[in-house]
Amino acid sequence: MTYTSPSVRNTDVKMQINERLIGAFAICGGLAVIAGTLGFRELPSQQFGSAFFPRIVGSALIITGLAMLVTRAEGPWVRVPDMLRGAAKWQVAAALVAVIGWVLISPYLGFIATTTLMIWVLILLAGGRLIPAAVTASVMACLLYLVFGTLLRVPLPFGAIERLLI
Amino acid sequence: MSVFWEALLLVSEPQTLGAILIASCLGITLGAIPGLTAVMGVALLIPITFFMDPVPAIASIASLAAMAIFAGDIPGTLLRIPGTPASAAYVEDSYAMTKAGKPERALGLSMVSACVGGVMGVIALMVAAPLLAKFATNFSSVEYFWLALLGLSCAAIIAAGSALKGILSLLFGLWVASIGIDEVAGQPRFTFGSIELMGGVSFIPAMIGMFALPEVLRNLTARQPRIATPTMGPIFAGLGGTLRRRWRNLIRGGVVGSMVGALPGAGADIAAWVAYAIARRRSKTPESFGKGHDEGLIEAGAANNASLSSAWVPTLVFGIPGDSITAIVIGVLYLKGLEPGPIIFVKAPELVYAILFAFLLANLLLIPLGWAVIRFARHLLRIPPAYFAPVVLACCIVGSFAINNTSFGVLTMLAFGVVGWIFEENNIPIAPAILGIVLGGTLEFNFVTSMLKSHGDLTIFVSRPVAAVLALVVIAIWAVPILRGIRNRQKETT
Repeated sequence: MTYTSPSVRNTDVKMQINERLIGAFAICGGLAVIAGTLGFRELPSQQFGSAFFPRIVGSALIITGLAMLVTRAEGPWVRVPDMLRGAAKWQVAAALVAVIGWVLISPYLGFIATTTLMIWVLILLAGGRLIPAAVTASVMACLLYLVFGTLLRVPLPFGAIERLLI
Repeated sequence: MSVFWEALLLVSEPQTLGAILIASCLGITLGAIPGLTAVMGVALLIPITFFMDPVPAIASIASLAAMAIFAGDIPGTLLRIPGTPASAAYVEDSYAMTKAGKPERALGLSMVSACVGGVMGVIALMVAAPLLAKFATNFSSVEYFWLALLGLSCAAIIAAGSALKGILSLLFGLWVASIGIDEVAGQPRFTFGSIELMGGVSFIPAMIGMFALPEVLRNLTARQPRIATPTMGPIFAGLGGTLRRRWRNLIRGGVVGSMVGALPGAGADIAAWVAYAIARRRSKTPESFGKGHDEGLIEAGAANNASLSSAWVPTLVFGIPGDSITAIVIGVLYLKGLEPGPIIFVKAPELVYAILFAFLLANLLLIPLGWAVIRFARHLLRIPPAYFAPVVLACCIVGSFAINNTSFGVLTMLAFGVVGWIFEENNIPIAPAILGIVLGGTLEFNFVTSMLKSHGDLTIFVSRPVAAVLALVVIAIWAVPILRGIRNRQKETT
């Protein structure tokens, strides 16, 4: 059900974690889920308490992991994708850091300034030009503020620019 | 007042019409840009629908999806880059027409086929859904348990390439669904002391992260070649004659698409491939397929939009998703307090029919909006991913923030986005995880309710005829891949 358009598929090599390793992760995950249910308190009259469903999920994870462990899996344990090599890895890192940065900075700078800055930097890192990037960033940030902040009345982070707009 | 009139009044409200028009414009633009898929578009639309009434909310999702699937034909025809997977089946034919200097013919045929197929899919939905719902009104918690399990099984096993990876994705979703305070015992589960997690993981930020963030990351690192788009002639010239000659393909595509789409787990892409294969087999000139022939294009073009509508049959009647988009729709219906299932046809039939009318309207809008986007396509195709990917990321952030008005939603989106990216890179399907998050609570609730009713007697799950049949179907779905795996291993050892 997932699909990537060929035009934007910049890499031929995708990240590949060996199926046996995925199986091992699943077993560890299943054990962790079951361990996490051990402290759940049960109601005295209740036969199927809070731990019942997560334990089924945990057990199923272990069984699935075991099935993956016994399958014939070829190739290296982990293959790093092209997307995480060269300049591309900094673009990926920048996008992820940008989200965390938005969470940390937006309460102080406000929505419009933070979002403009984020879009502008990411466009430049992806190879965009300075002025078109700045125009795109500021127009889109204002448009998002208009839709969510003004029309849908979402209390977006408030800053100096928003104060000027009121 | 009859239900139909009430439904028509609901659809003709300015809010609904406006939502349909705006979502259609958004869908047709997103679909025409290579790299932006219909599913991603729907995921980004959900935070806006959160603030709408149920009818405009669902109508806008339906409109966006229908438009995006057709618009995916535009980059496919002009650049040999299918904009959505549903356009991949006939991309060789449509691109060959472009190379022959007739891109307007390919796009015109796609547009009309999509419109006719879509309308046929809606008719199938209008006929089949109420009939099935009537049959399903006597279902109890036991049948609902099996239906939820059937939906999850279909998504994990049938729709996924690898059954084991599909199951893994599903189990991840079910675990996420169990996070938060257990309603029965009041026990916090897997909250790690976080107050935000007490209410559970919010479905919308999780879904935006899993579907949209991987697309953003891929587009950010993409290097798009310089694009030269061909000039376009009049779109409707000679279209009537071709369609009159190929009416069988058009109708068959609509019928096949409607049938395939109604199968849980099958999507528009599968419908298009099946229709294309049938067109080739029934054609008098199968050797011309892939070389700019119109039969496959018309048949598969009608099938993919027809399947989009009929995928709502299992969604509305049983709460089982027909494809990735309807998996998201189920979550939205729950958010709007409309539990998908036969009861919705009894409790709010006007709402169901309003959704169906909205679907019809969206498919009819395909012609004027499709014409406009085809004329405008050369400009859309020139937008480099470097410019739209950061904008999509900003949409992901603001959409995730808007659900609970906290930054926690943004961090949830980020975490699930990274998980979604790892899943996609390793061919682990995302839809079962999303469905697990949405249906996990229903599955647990109906199981526990049934067990309490029967004082722990498991035979309650097969005590009613429909429940027993559903149980057999679920067991068969799980047994087939296991038996196939065992047989393959035996073959390998001998």
